[in-house]
Amino acid sequence: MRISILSALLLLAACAASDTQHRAATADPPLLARELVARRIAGIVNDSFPLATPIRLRLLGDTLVVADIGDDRIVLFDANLDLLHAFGRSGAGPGEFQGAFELVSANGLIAIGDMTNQRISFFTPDGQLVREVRLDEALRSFVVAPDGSVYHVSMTGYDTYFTVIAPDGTRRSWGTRPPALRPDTTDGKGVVEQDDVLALRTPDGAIHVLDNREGIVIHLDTAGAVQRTMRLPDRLLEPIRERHEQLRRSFARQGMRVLPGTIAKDFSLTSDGRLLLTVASGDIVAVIIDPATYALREIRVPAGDGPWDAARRAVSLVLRDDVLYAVTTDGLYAFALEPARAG
Amino acid sequence: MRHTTVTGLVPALVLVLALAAGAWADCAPYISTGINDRPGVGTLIGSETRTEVVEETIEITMSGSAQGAGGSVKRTIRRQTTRTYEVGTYLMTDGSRVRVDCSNYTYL
Repeated sequence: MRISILSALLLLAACAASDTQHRAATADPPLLARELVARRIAGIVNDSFPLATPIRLRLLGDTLVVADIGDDRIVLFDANLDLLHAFGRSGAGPGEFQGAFELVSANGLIAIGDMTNQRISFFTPDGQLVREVRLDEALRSFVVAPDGSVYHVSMTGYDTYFTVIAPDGTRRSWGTRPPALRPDTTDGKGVVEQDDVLALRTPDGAIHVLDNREGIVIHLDTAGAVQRTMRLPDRLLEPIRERHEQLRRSFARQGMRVLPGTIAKDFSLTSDGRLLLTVASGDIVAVIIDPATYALREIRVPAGDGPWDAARRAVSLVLRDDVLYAVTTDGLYAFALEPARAG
Repeated sequence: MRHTTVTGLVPALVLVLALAAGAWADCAPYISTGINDRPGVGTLIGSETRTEVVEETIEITMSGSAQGAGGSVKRTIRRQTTRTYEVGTYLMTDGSRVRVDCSNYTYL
């Protein structure tokens, strides 16, 4: 507890000391996801949604790739949401999944992080298994370098974020974890839980880490040093934390202990290489982050009910040009984005 | 004749047994918020085993009498036990994810 308070104080001190680095800048007016241009939905009649429990949505060129953790399948759609094909099945054998959770578009291949089998499997887009990388620890977020090295967020990393697994199997620690964000390790705590730390690699080779408990984005250069940090604005964080607190209280009344919540549902790359956070913060459903400046641009939905509610309920979002794709537990949707009018 | 009572130890043992019983509780396939709360249903999408160290303070009172002399002695023992439990990750209908300690369910 003492270390936890100390960490929080250090974090506050660090934020105060370099406020310009930590303050989020909102550059452009928000975008609005109002117009639904395509959808595939689950239904008793005319079910056009071939997914059980979609968990991640990614772009592979113009193709949408969805990881379905419910059916242990990977399903590909074109930009009009027409089904292209699917591959994968449940099991522990080569190319099989038991918890297809993480999905990374990696150098033209599809890399799937498997929770139970604790491995990352690489496939061609048509579903041919290329190689597998054993993790030897629980699956966390990961990125893939051009040489095929896997940068896997370490469960127990204290002063570094990643374990780098080279193609020849050698491993090393990488990526400075700022002192203020190092975990409390007393009493066996300090484990990086799933979704606590999310990572992306931008085309310039930089790696961007989201501390998903604190709401801080960190830019690591190719040497693994911290180049920039940015704390997401409180107006974005507060509604998310309030919702989590509601859930915590609801489940506490049933005798359940809920672990600390996370901020973003997902962290993905847009088609032009910007960072995209999927969130549910009032009418804000996503935030685009410029990787060079860390300027923010919000994507909102109109107030009230409408087809855009799917973007609010999204498990994962991707942005291709001016179209926002959302996958929910019961459908896949495409929204045309427009600049939001003032007021 | 010497009488010795040990208080505090039994509750501690019960606690340890209770923790052990909860250690391998499976995570429920679904969870739901209460009827008085904003609706929310979660589907289990994965679970992981966690271990944490629990520090206990046990007070032992020993009292006795022998040949007319009596008295009691209190001792405090601190000990560490390892607690193992499952953490379930649930996908909620609003698209968020919630992690729950699965060892302390109360099924409704």
